[in-house]
Amino acid sequence: MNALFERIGIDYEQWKVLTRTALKIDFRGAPSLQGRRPGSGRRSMFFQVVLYSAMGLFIAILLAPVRDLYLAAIILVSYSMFMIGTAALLDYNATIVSPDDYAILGYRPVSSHTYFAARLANVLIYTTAMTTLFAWVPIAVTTVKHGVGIGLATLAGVYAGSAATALSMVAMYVWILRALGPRRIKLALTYLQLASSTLVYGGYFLITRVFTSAARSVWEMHRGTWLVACPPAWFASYVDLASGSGSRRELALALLSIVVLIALGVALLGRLSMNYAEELGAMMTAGDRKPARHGGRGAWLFRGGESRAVALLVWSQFRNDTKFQMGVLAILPMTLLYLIMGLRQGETAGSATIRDIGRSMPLVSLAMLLFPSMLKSSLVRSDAFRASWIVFVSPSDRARLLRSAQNVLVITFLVPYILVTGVAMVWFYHEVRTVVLHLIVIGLLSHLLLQVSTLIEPELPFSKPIDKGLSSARIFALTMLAGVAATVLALVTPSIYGRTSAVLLTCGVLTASTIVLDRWMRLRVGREAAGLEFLG
Amino acid sequence: MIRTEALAKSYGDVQALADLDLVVSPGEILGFLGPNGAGKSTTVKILTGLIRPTSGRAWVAGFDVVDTPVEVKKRIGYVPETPALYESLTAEEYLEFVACLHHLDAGTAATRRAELLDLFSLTEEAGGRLATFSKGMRQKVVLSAALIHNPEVLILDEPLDGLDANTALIVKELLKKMAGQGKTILFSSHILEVVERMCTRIVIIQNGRQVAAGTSAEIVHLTQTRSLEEAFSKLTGVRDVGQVTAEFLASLDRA
Repeated sequence: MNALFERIGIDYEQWKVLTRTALKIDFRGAPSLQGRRPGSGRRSMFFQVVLYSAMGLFIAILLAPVRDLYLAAIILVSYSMFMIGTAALLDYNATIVSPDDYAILGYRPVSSHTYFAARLANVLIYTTAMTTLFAWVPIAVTTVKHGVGIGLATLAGVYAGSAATALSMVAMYVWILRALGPRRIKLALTYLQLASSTLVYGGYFLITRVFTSAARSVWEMHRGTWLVACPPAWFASYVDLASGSGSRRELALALLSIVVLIALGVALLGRLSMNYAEELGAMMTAGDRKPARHGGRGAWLFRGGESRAVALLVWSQFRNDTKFQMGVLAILPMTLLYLIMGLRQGETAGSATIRDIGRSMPLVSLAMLLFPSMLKSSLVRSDAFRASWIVFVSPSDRARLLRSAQNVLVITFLVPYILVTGVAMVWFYHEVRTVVLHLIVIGLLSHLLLQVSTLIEPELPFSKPIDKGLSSARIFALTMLAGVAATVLALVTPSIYGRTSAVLLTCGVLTASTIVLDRWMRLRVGREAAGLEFLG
Repeated sequence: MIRTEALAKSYGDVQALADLDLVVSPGEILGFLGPNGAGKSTTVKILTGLIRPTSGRAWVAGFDVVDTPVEVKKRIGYVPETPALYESLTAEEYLEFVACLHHLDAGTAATRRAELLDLFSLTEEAGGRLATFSKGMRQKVVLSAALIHNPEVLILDEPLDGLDANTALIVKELLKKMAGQGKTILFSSHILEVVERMCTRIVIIQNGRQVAAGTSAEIVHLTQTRSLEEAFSKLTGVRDVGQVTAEFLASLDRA
């Protein structure tokens, strides 16, 4: 093994220890005052095992009626590649381009080849683990239904597709780092994060649409040259060949997939010689010298005490911390996308009645329901969590701090967002009264969800570290839950919006629930929050 | 005043602190010494309410740190050993943020903020983001944040770390004067010369237990040594320094 690694300029012993240490750190979870939080890594791993296995089970159930094996394999590989791409964009970009490790390793005798190879290995191990968790159920079902040969071909297609996706993402990051240079890379990555969030939510919509249209066409697929432009079809072609129904085209696609995998590997090996580590080091020394943008101006609404403190912090973070900024702004392209998709359905523009508004734009409702949870997650988890010691040693009332954080989120982000969305909906619908009614119901429901999420997990602002590997998992879980909620809403709203008394009753119930939850929060969250400990 | 009774903290099987009895009276600067891992930071974190003790009790300014943590926090100013800051804030905003957490009225907060920035020669940099500050400048901000609410009790963990000589002089003088006004100060540091010169009394802990207490002269006398440095070495179990270093260098040569 030593000789093999040596031939490509990698120190095998160093590579092994770097990879093992990175995995050990991830498994143990974030450090805390006690040195580490025992079991935090295991808990997050358990969450991922359950979530990805459940998603795999969901896909296996969806694919059960599909008779065309090739189509089933394309859908499975597509979903797997989409999931790996999302994780690489949202969770593992830091593994490839973060200069943090360089501060520790930069002055050690580790070559850039070895350093990069260790990071690459880390990404590939996660990719393999995630693919296994997601694909084991569908692959097992395929094997039982169609035999070992098809099962093995499915396995090969799924893993090869995942590996190709991960390698492509790594190649893209390395290319960005090289093309933009250290000074612009952080900003570029931030915008990439925004674009990727849009892609994730858009992708969710797209996949749902694919399933729906596939179901409408009774799971039949027209095989044409379009398959060449569809990378999942290249990897899924293994299954078609194994089943004996593949033609020359499928053989060519399978060969293409192998060529692409080899090309990616060779391209990345070539990149290893570009002094990767030194460029990361330059990222650190490039520093952050941009002038301060004052956050205080946005906090004028809050006069003093905890509310003003939280408002000051949130606004400063929003204006200067691009990660937080993008976490919040990610909702905008997603909403726009959903509005356009709603319009494309052709049922809505200018023809809305009080009954069909909830039904015709369920995805816009989904976006509005998702927003508070996205906001809360961005507010709690931050790279700046170590600075929260000042909050923990201050005499502030923690329950009040939590409620202030919630109020700041509602006033500064949720309300303007709902208003902007409302304006866009009025423009589409030409029906002010209907839209206002819908926004009141959705707004109250969104606020209620924010309260529930604070009740379930009361956390102080910017006080928890970002869990590697969990961002994409959370988004998947959240999207699925919100999808269910939006569907229920779409089914229920016609009967609510049909009668004024039902609308009034709904608003009344939601308002009463908000008040009850607020009281409950004062009691329960105060007790819970008092027990929170600093994790820095 | 700071008082602890049989204070203990364990992390699983590891006993970080055991039966610590500590008294720091108003007007006193207590030097809190110990080798790395002796339990100093654990004590400080319990006193500031960052963590809870496993057993025993502690009072700060007359309030129990477990039963009435908020009352304690109203009265303390704290400088941690490795202070992280919200780097997106400016120095001015950070001090306003801390003032809000302490419920200072806007007028008082603004006046104190200006005075502290002036005291630490940070007025010109007040509008700069903390991300761009040097280690010393950040330490000045942390010290300002510890003082802005005029606390009764100061708990300082390596407060002079990173400060230039002039600012260190200002801080030492300020602390002496604050003690003169009746404030209670717990001063934790590894720099024995500073502790010896500044502190009215010294407590040395080792393996989570108190091993000596008194003035510098009393500790030197008690240990029958010639200086606080020697006394510290003797009490905390360091072997003969000359012998240890010679052995190490010899082992390097052998390898």
